Formats: sequence, C-alpha cells, structure tokens
Amino acid sequence: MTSRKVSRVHSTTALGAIALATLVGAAGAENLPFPPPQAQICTSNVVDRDKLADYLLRKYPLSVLAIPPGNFSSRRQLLAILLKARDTCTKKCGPSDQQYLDAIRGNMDQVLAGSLRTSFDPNDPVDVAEYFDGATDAHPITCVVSKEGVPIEAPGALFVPPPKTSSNFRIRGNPNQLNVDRASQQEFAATDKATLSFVDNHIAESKTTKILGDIGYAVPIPPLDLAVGNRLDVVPYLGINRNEVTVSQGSTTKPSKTSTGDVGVLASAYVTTVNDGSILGHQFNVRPDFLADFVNNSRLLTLNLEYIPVRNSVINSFRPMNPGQDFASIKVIFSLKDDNGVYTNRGNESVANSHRDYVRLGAQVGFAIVSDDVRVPLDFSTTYTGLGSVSGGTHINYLQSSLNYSFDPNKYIGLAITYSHGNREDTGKKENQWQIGLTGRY
Amino acid sequence: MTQSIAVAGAIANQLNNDNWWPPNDLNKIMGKAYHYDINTITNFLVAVRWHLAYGNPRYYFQFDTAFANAALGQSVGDLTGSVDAKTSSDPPPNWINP
Repeated sequence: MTSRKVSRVHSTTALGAIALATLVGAAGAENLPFPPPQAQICTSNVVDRDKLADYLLRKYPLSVLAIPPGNFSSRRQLLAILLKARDTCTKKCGPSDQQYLDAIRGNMDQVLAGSLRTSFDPNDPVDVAEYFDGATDAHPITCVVSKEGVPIEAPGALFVPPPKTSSNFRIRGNPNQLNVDRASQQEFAATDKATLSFVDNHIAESKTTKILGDIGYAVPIPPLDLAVGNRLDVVPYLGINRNEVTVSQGSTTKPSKTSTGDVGVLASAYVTTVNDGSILGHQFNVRPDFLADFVNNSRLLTLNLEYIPVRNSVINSFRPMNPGQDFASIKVIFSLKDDNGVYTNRGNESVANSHRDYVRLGAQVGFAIVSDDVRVPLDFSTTYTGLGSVSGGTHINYLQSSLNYSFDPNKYIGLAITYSHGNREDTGKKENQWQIGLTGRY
Repeated sequence: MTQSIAVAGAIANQLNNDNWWPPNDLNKIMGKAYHYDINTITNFLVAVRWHLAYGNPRYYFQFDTAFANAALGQSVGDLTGSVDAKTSSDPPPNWINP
C-alpha cells in the first residue's frame, strides 16, 4: 500500500514536472532548425532519443492539455505516447498541440524515411512512435561524420524560418496580378508594383507626376464542392493611372496628361489534370472592367480573358538556375489572351474616331528572375504582350522590363527601373519610356 | 510501407521532380524558399496525392484550398506532418481517384 502511494506520488511529480516544463515552453516556441547540429542530439555518433525528444518539444512546445494521464518519466516517453495515440490528442489537445504533433511526426517521418541519409542515417524505416518508444539500441539513427570525424550537418541546420505572411488586401501595378497572395513569395516578387513618382527635369524644364496602381480585396470564397486541387478566387478592385507632364516657358518638351480610373472584378479559376502522375494546372482569368478616361471623357467597358498553363519547374513556375545553390530562380511566363472592348462613350471629337470597339487575340511571353541570395535583393522581369486585332484596328505590341531593388526582405517597398515600349494593353495608347521610382505592393 | 514513410517518400520524390532537392533541407519554407505559389503548390499536392493513391499499399490524401495556402508558409518537415494528418489508409466517403 505504501509502495503504491509512493509510486503514485512519483508519477504525479514526474507528470507535474514535465507538464510545467512543457507549459513554460509553450509560452514561447523557439524558431529552431530541424534537424539541429549533430552536437545537440548525438551521443557517440548515434541519435540520442532523449535529447532529440527534448529538442523537438522545445521547437514544438505542447500545452498542459496535451499531457495524458499515466506513468512516464521522460519527454521521450511522453512523445511516444502522444504520437501513438493521435485520437486522444484530437479530442483533448488545443489546436496548436495537434499542429505541433503533426509537425513533429512529419519532420521525423522524413528522417526515418532516409531523406537526410547523408547526415542522419536510419538503419530501418520505422514508425515515429515506435522509434521513441523503443529500447535505446533499437532502430538506431547514425549521425554521419566525415573520414576526419567531423559531423556532416543536415542542410539548413542553421536556418531560421522567416515569419509567415498573408493578406486579402492587395496593391499591385497590374490588375491581372491581384489574385496573387503575398504568401506566394516568389510569385509576389514577380508582380508589377504600384508606382508613385515625381521627376523634376531641369534640362528639359519639365515636371512629371505619375501615379499607377490597383487596389483590390480578395473575397473569401466558402469552400465549394470542387474536386481536390481546384479553386476559385474573386477580387473586386479599383485602379488609377495618372501621368502628367507640365513644362516651363521655353521648354522643348510637350506637356501631356493621362488620367484614367477603372473599376472591375478579377475572377480566377484553377483546375488540374493528371496524366500518369504528371500534373498540369490550368488557370482561367475572367476580368470585366469599366475604364473612365478623365482627359478625353471616353468610357470603355472591357472583358479580358486569359489562360495560363502551369507545369511545375517548366512553365509559369520557378525553378533554381543553379540547383543546390541559393543563387537565383527563373520562371518562364506564358499566357494566352483575348481582350474585348466596347466604348459606351467614345469621348471628345479629337479622339472619338480612333476609339473603336475591338476584339484582340494573342499571347504574353517573358521570364522573371528572382535572386535567392538575401544579400542581393534584386528581381528582374520582362514580358512581351502581342495581341492581333480581330476587329477595331489597333494591334498591341507592348514590351515591359523591370529591375527592382527591395528595401525590405518581404519586398513590399523598393526602387524600380522600368522600360516600356509599344501600345499598352489597357488603353491601346503608344508608350516609350524609361522610368525610375519608388514602388510598393502589399 | 507505413503511412508515415509513404508520405515522407511521396513528398521527397516530388521535391526531387521539381528540382528543389537535393540538398534535402527540411527547414526550407515551401513558398519563400522553394518558390511555390498557390498554383504550383496545388500541382505539388495533387502529385503527392496521386503517388499515395497509386502506391502499394494505397493511401488516401485529401486537401482543400485553405490547406494549400497554409502549405506555402510551412517548412518541408512541417508540411510532411500536415499531409500525414490528412492521409488515411481507408478511402474517405467522398473519395474520387485522381
């Protein structure tokens, strides 16, 4: 009887100590790499399960809700119990506990499957719960060292993950890119930025003010009964494009003014097709837009359709330029386009004759390069849009190249040098300019 | 092959196909470091789903847009755990073969 009491006191004390230590950890999850440097979890060139369990619970701290009743004296044993009885935690744990346990399982799955064999070599694939539950010498994982005895660390052992980021509120330089969330970091880095620039040219005696941008909000669409891998995004937006050149007396530069505002909706559907394990994605964009030109008083209603094929690592997808190195990544850009426009008001007499309803068909091609080196925050993109006129007369042939230097790691604010040449897709007007300005997107 | 090992293998295989592995880094964030966007991560997850569904033994992985969005902010190791949690050895009631 006495011994039973002692045993119960012991287990309660152990439980309390572990629960307290774990709870303290939960107050501040540590941004740690996995796996860590070998020195932190290896003993005599073999992974020490107790050290590994301690490390995992520091990286993914669990709350006291996750601690099951029972006898266990170490974190390794606690982890084995929690990983073995997933359903128990589903019913009792907090949301972050379940997420952290899944993360522990996932990271360990990769190690035990041999994905990191060059640094941590598992002798045999075994379930993660069984690994933590097993005897000290069962299913060992070898910590691999070089011939000289130097530990061969796993890639990223010193990596610190960046903070997560996402937003439904969006600012872009092109309404076709409003469906790109900033959580898609590389795609986001390749989008056009909204621009606010002011140029005072003392030689030409002219001043140029430019504001260009689109503000949109991605409407959360409730989960539809779509097949797995398919989705629908809807982003209503407002856009502005104002470019004014004023000149002093005696200047040879001609004064000019562009001032348009537009309102529209970008609806974007994505579906995937599978052919023997090879995946091809199809993005369809439909964008009705109403554009008001405040200089010549015209009003234009447009419907733009776009098809974007996506095959990972081949088209509309980044791939490393130099695999294995954090150097730079490249993406080939390609889409098919159909632009249709009807003038509800052709504007002043000076432009009314040239404002004809139109149908244009064509494509956009180009490429984007993004630096992966944090010390070189540069990205470059160039696209050529060629649309032949089916009716209406004006062909579109618009080349745009942009080199951006970002001031912050998330690439929200930067300095951009842009060259554009040809008839713009949105207005049909000719443009030929170099531009440098402060740019932003969110 | 256990479910955990099958999931880890399917993800490792797809990272190899997409040219991001080797080096096999579990810490890399799918969006930030491996350049996936919502379209390409969807392709990635559909491919993982296909490999699991036609492996031996078969496993059944289901995901939705919210899962794909969350995956962009996850490391490879964390994503492996998330996929494992959404995978079962029996087909769910609304299962459609990929």
